[in-house]
Amino acid sequence: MKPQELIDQLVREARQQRNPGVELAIIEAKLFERIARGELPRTPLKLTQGRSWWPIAVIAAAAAAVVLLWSRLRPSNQPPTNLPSTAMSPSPAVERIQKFRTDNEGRWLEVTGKASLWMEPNSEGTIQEGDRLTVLLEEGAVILDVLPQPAPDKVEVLAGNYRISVKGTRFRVARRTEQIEVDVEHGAVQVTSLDGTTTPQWLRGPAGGTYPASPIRTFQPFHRASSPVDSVVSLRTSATAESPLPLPPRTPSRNMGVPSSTDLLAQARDLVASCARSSTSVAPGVQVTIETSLTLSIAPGGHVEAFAFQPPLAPATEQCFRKGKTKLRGLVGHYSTPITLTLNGQ
Amino acid sequence: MSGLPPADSNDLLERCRQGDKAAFRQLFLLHSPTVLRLVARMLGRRADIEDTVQEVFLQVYRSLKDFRGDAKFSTWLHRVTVNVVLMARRAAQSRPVFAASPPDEALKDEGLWPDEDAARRLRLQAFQRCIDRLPEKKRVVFILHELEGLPAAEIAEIVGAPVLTVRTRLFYARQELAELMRQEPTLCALAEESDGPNPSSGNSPGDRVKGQPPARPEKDQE
Repeated sequence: MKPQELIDQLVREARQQRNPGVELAIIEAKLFERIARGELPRTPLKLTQGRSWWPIAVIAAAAAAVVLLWSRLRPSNQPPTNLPSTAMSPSPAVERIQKFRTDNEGRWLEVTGKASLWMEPNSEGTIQEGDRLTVLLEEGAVILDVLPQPAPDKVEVLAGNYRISVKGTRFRVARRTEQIEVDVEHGAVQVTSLDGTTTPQWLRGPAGGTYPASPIRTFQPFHRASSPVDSVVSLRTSATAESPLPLPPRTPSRNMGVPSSTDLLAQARDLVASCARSSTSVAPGVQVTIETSLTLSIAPGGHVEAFAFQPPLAPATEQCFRKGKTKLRGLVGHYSTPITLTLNGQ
Repeated sequence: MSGLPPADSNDLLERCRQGDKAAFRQLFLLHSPTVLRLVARMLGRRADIEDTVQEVFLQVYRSLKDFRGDAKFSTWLHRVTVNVVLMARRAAQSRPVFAASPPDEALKDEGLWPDEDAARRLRLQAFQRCIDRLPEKKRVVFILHELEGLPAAEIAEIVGAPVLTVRTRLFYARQELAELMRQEPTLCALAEESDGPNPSSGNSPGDRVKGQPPARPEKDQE
């Protein structure tokens, strides 16, 4: 017999089943006794079925969405971001409003008559083309090669609290967790905080500046010498895609004395490698591979407040790292990086 | 629950709303068998049935003035019953159970000889266990539809869900029920018996249909 047929048979039998041996007369007597004593339920029964968590979930989701939107759209003149999240195709044309997201490879985009955009790998944002070309950079970096514009302020990049408006230039804007980086190859851009808390600053190429991601009242542009051509490699955005803008790599000295997250993690990885080599003895002819993930917490003073390896390293290696971490400096935040080391016995 | 003509029911309800206890007694006598049956099917534990039926009618007595007649009284009564039973089940889950307390009769394996009545009772007990293990929402719609014979539209009113949702729950309730029945030896054996004997099995299907080995002497003596 098939299960469903069996269910039907059992249902038929269950329907014919008599009431359990409960005396309704007893229930009746007790019931009316309770009614006479006034033992009624204090609160009326809520006629809802089951534990319904979905209203709470909907409210929580709505609240989260409002907070997210508010945090992103705090400056009211930013373009809308609630657009369909479609990865941009390498099509040369741009819709009036288009979301872009690049994965491991960068992409070119031509905006007829205004600019060429190079979107670096792992970047995300929105392009709005109308009377003005606006790039809202949410993550990653873009390079704009802007054609000389007949009217001012026709091209701009919004990144965090800053507007980088341009006349005709080639420049790069990168949005990092802790700061906005602007590098101008040639031409000039104006950097303005959207909330008006800082004085607009001009950057004339070759020049660059970093600006804190959170709005503060001052920021310091830096000037640099002409870019050496041999630093192209450092700006390649992926193995297969080369940045069109040969800007030099960032060094800690440029970022107001505080290493960027990239530099911090690179130093941390070097320290781990050094510690692992010094504390691990590998027999000749043997190769040892160490894979772990390092998480760092940088305190407001810029020093490493806490760290963790997952999975843990050998105690000696971690002890070595604990001693060496005092040299690491960075911006406040939590950082994480995978680490893979190969040690060869000699 | 629709044994009375609408006019009589409306008159009776109106008198109940005005606090006429005799009318409420009549209402109880009219509807208590159905409420009792639904409570028993949904609760599955005889110990709590009386209290739950009382609780249903106490809620009806208290809330009858809120019944506006938008739906049929029987639908409203079903809704009250379902919610009271669900509350009772939840309360029972958080209630401590004494280790020495006897098992519920509905779950008890009496180990009787496999005569037809005993076999049928075992089947239904096993079936009830399976129903009890269904998730709450599916269990409610299954009982209301399959055992109480209510249409999906009325169940939708009772549980406060779209008709399509009720049908979906019903579909999955049957699916899950079939799965749960495979874990019940009595029902599993019944299916095997219908399909024919299994030569690899040491037990004859007939023995397994009854689901139990021969009763232990001490049980019989009890």
